[in-house]
Amino acid sequence: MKAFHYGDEEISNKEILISVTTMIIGAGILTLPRGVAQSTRGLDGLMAIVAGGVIAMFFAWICAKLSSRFPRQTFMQYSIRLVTKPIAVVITALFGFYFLLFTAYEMRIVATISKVYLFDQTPVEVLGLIFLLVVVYSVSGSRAAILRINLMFAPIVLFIAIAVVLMNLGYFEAENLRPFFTTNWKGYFQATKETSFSFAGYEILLFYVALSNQPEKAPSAAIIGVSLPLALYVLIYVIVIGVFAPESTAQMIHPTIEVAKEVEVPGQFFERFESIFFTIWIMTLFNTAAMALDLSIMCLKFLWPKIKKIIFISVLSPVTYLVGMLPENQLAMFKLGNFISYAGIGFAVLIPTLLLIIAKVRGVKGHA
Amino acid sequence: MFGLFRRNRARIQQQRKEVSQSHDFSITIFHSVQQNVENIRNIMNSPDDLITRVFTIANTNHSCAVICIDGLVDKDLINDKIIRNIQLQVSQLDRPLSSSPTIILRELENAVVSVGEISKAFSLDDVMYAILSGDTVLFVDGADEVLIIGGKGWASRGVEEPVTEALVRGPRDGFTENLRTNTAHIRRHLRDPNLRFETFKVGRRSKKSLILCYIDGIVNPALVEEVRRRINTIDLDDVPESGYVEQWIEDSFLSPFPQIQHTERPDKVATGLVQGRVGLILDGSPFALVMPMTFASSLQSPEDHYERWLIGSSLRVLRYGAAFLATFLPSLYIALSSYHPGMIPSDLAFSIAGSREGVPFPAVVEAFVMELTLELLREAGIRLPKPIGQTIGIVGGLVIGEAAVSAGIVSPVMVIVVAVTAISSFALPSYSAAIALRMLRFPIMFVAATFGLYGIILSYIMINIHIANLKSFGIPYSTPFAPSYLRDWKDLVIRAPLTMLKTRPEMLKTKDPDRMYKGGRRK
Amino acid sequence: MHRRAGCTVILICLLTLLTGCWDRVEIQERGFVVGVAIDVSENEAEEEGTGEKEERAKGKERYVVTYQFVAPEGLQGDGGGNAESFFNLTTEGASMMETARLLATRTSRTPYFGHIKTLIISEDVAKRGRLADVVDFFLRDHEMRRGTKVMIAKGKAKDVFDFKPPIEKMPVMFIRSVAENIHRTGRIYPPVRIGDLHELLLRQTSYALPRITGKKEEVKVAGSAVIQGNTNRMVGWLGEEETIGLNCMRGEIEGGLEKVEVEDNLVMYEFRGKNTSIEADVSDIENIKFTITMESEGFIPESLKTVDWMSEKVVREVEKRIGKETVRIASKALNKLHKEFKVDAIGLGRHLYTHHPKVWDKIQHDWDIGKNYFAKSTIELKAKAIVRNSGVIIKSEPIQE
Repeated sequence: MKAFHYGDEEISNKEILISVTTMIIGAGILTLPRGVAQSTRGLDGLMAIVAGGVIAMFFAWICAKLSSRFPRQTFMQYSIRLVTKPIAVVITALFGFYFLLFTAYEMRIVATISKVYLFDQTPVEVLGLIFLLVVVYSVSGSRAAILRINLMFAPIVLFIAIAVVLMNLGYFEAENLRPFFTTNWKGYFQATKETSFSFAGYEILLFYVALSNQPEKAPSAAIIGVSLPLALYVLIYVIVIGVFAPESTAQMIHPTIEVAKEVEVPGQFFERFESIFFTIWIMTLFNTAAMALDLSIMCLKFLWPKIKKIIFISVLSPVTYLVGMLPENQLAMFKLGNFISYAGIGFAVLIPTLLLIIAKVRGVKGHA
Repeated sequence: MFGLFRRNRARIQQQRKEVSQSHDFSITIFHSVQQNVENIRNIMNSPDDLITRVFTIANTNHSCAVICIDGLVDKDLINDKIIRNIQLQVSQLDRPLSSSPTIILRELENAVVSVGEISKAFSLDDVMYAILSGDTVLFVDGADEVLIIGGKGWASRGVEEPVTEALVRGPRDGFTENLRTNTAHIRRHLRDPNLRFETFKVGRRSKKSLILCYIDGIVNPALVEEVRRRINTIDLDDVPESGYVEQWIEDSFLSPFPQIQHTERPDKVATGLVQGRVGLILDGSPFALVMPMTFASSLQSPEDHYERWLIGSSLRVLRYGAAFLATFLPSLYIALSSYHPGMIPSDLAFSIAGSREGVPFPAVVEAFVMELTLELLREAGIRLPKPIGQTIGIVGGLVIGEAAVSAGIVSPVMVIVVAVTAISSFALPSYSAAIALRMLRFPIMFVAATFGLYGIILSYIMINIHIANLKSFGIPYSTPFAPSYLRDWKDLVIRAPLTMLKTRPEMLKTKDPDRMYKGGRRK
Repeated sequence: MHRRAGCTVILICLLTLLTGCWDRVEIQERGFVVGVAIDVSENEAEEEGTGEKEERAKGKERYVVTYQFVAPEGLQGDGGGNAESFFNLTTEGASMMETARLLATRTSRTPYFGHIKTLIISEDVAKRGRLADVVDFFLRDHEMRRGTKVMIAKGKAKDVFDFKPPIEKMPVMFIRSVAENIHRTGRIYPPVRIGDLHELLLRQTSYALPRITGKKEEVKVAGSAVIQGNTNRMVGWLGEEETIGLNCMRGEIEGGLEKVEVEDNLVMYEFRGKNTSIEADVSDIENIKFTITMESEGFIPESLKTVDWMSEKVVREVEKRIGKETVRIASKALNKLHKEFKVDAIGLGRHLYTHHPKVWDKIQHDWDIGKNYFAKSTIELKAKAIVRNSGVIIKSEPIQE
């Protein structure tokens, strides 16, 4: 049957908010406590997390402000108006490449961690491939559906995260949180840098606000969208430090999964909570990967508007796969992750800030 | 590709139509009764059940004819109210009938034929349709018009309790095959003058009535317009069941999920109409269609609202659990036992391992065999006569299970898993949604056997992608989860107290969103 | 969109068909390892049968490792009891993984470590300071759980697994249940999970582990082994009563009995909660003064001495005596730790770290090793007890005049 619209391709700010949350949480939360605990003592890392969150909130606000200044205009459209076409094309192409790398990295993370926690013999290549196929399936659907799936999965994912926190309360030792404020400035700085990486992801606002039916409210949605992961990070960090103490947290590759491993489910209904936790977490990783691939396609479509979406998908997915399989081991994978994080800071902080300043100075605004 | 099929089909139909219209009978109404009767007899090739009674109107020399089909009409009504009145009562009129046939016809209509439902026809098409659908036709010799007298009366099933949607509490009447009975049911639930029934004829040969019902002033007009548009595209020769209509107008035929709700319960249709949905009733089918539908509505039963809210809510939560188990339990068992035995509590793991000792098949095969057997049993249970059906259920469930275990073909745990799955799938109120989930179970079992939990979660994600992309009449199937209408969540997993359900579902974008004008306050 | 969806589904199905099932092992084909016992081997590494010396990397130590497997057939209720419900396999190698892989040559079932309940390490391993080496595999492998309980065996660890328990079907399950009886007696050191041990090892503070003594006829979980944190070397045992003392000082006692003399006869006192607070005076690093205050509450389950439990004076008197007795037991343990072993298993160092981090930074490398500030410190014990009730009767016989 021919589709019939109620105008349902529009996205409300709820979807925008949750998408920002999902994109930020992504895989970062699994390793975040390690990075923070490595350079801080006791609960001091919390300061770094809050600082990183506040910084992220500010720049997310800038991203949203910039794109809500041009309601219902795509990133390409308003960046052309701001910085002329050639520069806009370059920026968009860079974004496209960045999101492609991001998808590849998420796929690799899923494959690697599943291999560690769920499998023994199954090759990483196959695990990554079927994950990517599911992502491709989702990307070939409608864009609104991708954002809606975020909304469908978010409660489940938050629930499981809260469950990990609650069930660990029994192992929580307040003594582990002490001493307070004994970290030196270098440690704080290092940890804040680490957390800022984990808060990257709000750059999607530059693109998705164009779909919103209330773009003027996007900046506040962006701030709430960042504060949710901030709250979750704080909660998880406190519980991880309380359970493991910073010394052993620093020595675990995925402390958040290990803290789930610590849990013994009351009533012994099932064991090995970390498998459940990670399995559910695949949903978040899927969401981020799907959004990133979708944005990558969106960026390329700006550049070549005449080519069909399906062609982009069939070209991009093998490329993504190959890029994702490039790192030969876990170390190389984390290196790729670091590279993406640095690039992400550039894309999420520098470009939107510059564009917003240009827009303010030149007074460009509103509809074309 | 499908477009090509359609075009092809249209061309073939055009050719066929030309053939069928080249029958050599006249399509006009004659002035002479005799000619008319003969013409109709010719068209239908004089079947035995065609009653054509020609007689003279009392006190005149005009003849008239009553034509109807035996079995479709209420014979008493024809004998007493039509033929008898024309033959006898005319003579008791205080003045003689006029001599003009057309005026005679009008006088007969006015004063003689004492039947409520009466109308006039001017074309043979209408006449034929009236005769074939069980009305009685009265020709008067020389008149320009034909009287169509409604006297349908055929043997039909009485109103019974809906078999597929039994409730503990709630009205026990169900739809029947009789269209009028069904519309009457809805009228009896909704005495709203704004309740609209629009009749469509579907099926090029069967020409069945399809009634589109909605409440004007509540429903979103765009929705009604869309349903009308889709109904008008129906191009079938026969529509034996409302399932045909459903399949023609649904959004995606590749989806396992039903996108239109079907129900035997008038109260369910009425509730749907009041919420701002649209209903379709097809003549000859006891299943009405309600649209649009979302995934959540397949887990809701009218009983949720009839019982007090705590009970209703807990039943709903239970059903969500049942839906999950019906889809994922066997695959979870496969994944846990063959991939992640560490997730099973130690003692249980050892006991499962002990009970599977000597079972020759891997867990997947075991699960497939048992699930297939169960589906067979279910299918056989429907076909068999009712008393035997139950026996088969017991024989199948108990004896085969027990025998399979003691023969060492399957493990006892597997039997439990299969049984729980089956029970859960029968706990779902919507039969077609339950079937969809049961169908999905098999590929998921397969994926679980290859990738364990990882495969299960990826299939879960795929189902969700599909649901988020699927639409039913413009409404995403995943509504109100996403796009989320928080106000609709009050009647989603939890059914909030009645006084709190102040608005109609927001997702339907109704013209009149308020259900309670005093804000749900009780005095 | 639909066609694309269909293609993806078909692709995935094909893929799953092509790839087969790498990791699928049916549950009955797995050999569930429930316990591991680690001993030190004195043998030289040699190739079996040929007597050739092994030329591979040798490592520092060789271990004899005993794995206890479940035999699920024997667990089934109607087996008639003739089938054993467990079996032990012993292999020898320079690392845990080596011994684990050697198992594959000796059993038809794929060894699976996801259900390990207890890890028993012999005192020899602990005394040679190999705890971290031994535990690494059990922490690193993803199949393992962090909840595995670690105990130190007096004598050979292997002996514990040979014991046939009277009720439980498997020795390991028996041991696990016994180790959890901590609210019945204070003689058991609270179970240490392998995850906790990981923290302890990383933290470099000294600690204790529960002791298990295994013989053919009986297995006993009581007492504790004291381990120095920097070297991870076991320094000695604490006996059963000393373990009560240690538990009191650490405030980790959940239950247990104390007997006190009132005049000429005994009164029993059962703990139902303990709260220990530590105070430290760090003005002089060379002589840090600690005050450990142990508060307990409990009830009187048995009173051999007939006294009037309704009299406040009597209760106060008994409470005072209980306090004294607590101090006596604790100081017995303290003396051993403080004076004999000079190792801080009480967690005083940790207290300094959390409450006086600046001081701790200065002395952490010489706490209970090297300059051993711990041994130089002064520790004072205080105890206070509250008798919550005296059971459901007052007296069982009249008070004799």
